[in-house]
Amino acid sequence: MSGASMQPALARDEWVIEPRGEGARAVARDVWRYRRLLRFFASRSFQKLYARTVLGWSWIFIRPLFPLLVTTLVFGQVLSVTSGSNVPYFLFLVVGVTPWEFFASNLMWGTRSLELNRGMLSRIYLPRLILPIAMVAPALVTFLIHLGVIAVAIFYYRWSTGMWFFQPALVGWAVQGFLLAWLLSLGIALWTSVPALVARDVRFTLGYVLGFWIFLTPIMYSLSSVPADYRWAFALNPMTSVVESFKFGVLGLGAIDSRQLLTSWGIALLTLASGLVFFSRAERNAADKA
Amino acid sequence: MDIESSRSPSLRVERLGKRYRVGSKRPFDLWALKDVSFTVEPGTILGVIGPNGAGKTTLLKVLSRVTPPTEGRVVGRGRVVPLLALGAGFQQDLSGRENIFLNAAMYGISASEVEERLDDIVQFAGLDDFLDTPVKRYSSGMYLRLAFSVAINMRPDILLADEVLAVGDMEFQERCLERVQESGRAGMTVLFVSHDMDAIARLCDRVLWLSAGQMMAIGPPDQVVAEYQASAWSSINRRRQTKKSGGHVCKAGEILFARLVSAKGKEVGAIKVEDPVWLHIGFRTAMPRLDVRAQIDVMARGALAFRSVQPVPMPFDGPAEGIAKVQIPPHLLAETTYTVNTSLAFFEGDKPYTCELDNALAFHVYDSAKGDSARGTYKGQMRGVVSPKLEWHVEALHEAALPEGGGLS
Repeated sequence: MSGASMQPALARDEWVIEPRGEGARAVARDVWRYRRLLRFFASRSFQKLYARTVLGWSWIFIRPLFPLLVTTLVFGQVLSVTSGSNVPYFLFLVVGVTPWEFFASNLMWGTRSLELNRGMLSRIYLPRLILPIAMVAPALVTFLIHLGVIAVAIFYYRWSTGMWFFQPALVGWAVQGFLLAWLLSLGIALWTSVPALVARDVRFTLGYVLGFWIFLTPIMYSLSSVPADYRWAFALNPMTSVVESFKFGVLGLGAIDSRQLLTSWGIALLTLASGLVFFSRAERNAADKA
Repeated sequence: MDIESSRSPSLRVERLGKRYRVGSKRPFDLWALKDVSFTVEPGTILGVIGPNGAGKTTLLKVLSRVTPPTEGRVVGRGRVVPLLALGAGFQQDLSGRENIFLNAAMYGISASEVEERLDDIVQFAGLDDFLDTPVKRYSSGMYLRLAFSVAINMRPDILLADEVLAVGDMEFQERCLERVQESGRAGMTVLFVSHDMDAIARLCDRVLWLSAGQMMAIGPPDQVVAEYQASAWSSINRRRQTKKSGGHVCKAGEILFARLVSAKGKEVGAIKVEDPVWLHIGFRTAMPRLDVRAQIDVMARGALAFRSVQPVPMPFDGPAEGIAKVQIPPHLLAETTYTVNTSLAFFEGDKPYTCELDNALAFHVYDSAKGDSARGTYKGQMRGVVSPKLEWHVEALHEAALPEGGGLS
């Protein structure tokens, strides 16, 4: 549909199908034209999530909350890790976990987005870019639940300790951190979703990578407790910026390191841009692989 | 449609090729389509025929952008609505109404446009009472009606229909075909893939024959369908006859072959209802003097259509080769596929020997529906295993008062 490359100009309602892709602009136009499918795939992914379970929708709450309690118990009580401030460990942990879980689950669902809709891909045309984008829905819901937990915790500690930990003036930094996590996870999912269509290895590997990555991100411990020798590794990890932004934006903990933040945004945007190019080339053959 | 747009083709396919890499251990390239070029004028119903694996579905998949071509290009005009895998986009848990909107969204069509057509869609599908029922409660017929109705009411400029009309009850099939023809007259271009040669011959303006990804022919339906069937059935018949089962040989002789031969003496695999045709059974005897009696069982649609027996055994000097010929008259067979079991009885005095060759031959009968066959001008579905051309009269009965509705002689 890109008129520029055609020798004879196309009439208004004419279209062309060629072996090579039509470029990013045509893809964007198509996503817009099919935008109503975003909502459909979003709600569909969500329905699939807890279909065929006995507890059904309660899993939406159990799944995020249970690990929080376990981690608080192990790290906060048994190992006596602290937030490095007067913030209670549980609150400290939830605020760190919230953007991480959003990131991890958006990445996981984004990676599986094509695979989960395999049947549809091989039978009808739709701009496939819609799938990894729409798959943010389950991650968003988990994110909202985590926000709810944060709110409850803040009020609980206000009541039990009389201290008010929330810093409304800084909340913009948290929003920024959320956006960063979103774009980064989408960017990576654009790289992984097409290969995941033919190789389940991608998904398995990703599970291990995320399991490792969470320990390299200052979520269960504070960045200030990291020895200076290892700081450079944390600086290269964009999720450090995400989590630190969140902790700063919600609790006022730590500080914003602008150089690191810019590096993280650079990495995220580069991943996203290259992911878009890769995806729009690779997805054309998705139907043959599905 | 304005004059300018009716001048240029609706679809122009240029040297289209699609390569698949198949096999996991030792992968090799398979060209599902190769060098396919054709143009389709607006309002044309183009039939696409060919054996399984010929590339018909791949062609439609490329045209509907499900999969990209490997080489060549397609220039088209207007809205393309695919009816590949009917109801592929339907969601079991959603109601009929919700699925209509979802389906349209999958064609990239706006909700407001669907809103306008909702009544037409529902009416054609005949689903007024079930519009808010989840489609998983639908019968397969209702499912099909809804899917077709949505597609056709999206007013496609190009409709891609893959074998979809082969399902569903006959009455609805007829309504679909009628509607497709109607839209064709209004300028809609249709690519219609089917194995149903009757429908192809009746419905299409032109026919494209694909085989192993290559274009074999494109042209008038009668001609292309006949060529295709002649080729398809003769290759099947060759395969049948090289199969040595043993039943065709007995002590007194053997059946050598069975062939369908046109009035001009040419071996054919498909015949028109109005053409007489000869069935030849070749045999060899192994004894000096025998009486020979041939017999055929003509099967269609899983039933025995009829049996024909040579009325009187014929004396035959041998050992020698011979041929038994039986004429099948025009306007007897129905539009369908027939298989023929042949058997020969050799009598040495009163002692009989029998050779049998089951599935000796398969052939297809088609009706180009020019109005002079048994169906006359009737466009509906003919049924049964034979379709003899009978004489009909309708006349008034004097003054006598007829009961409401009248009566036929």
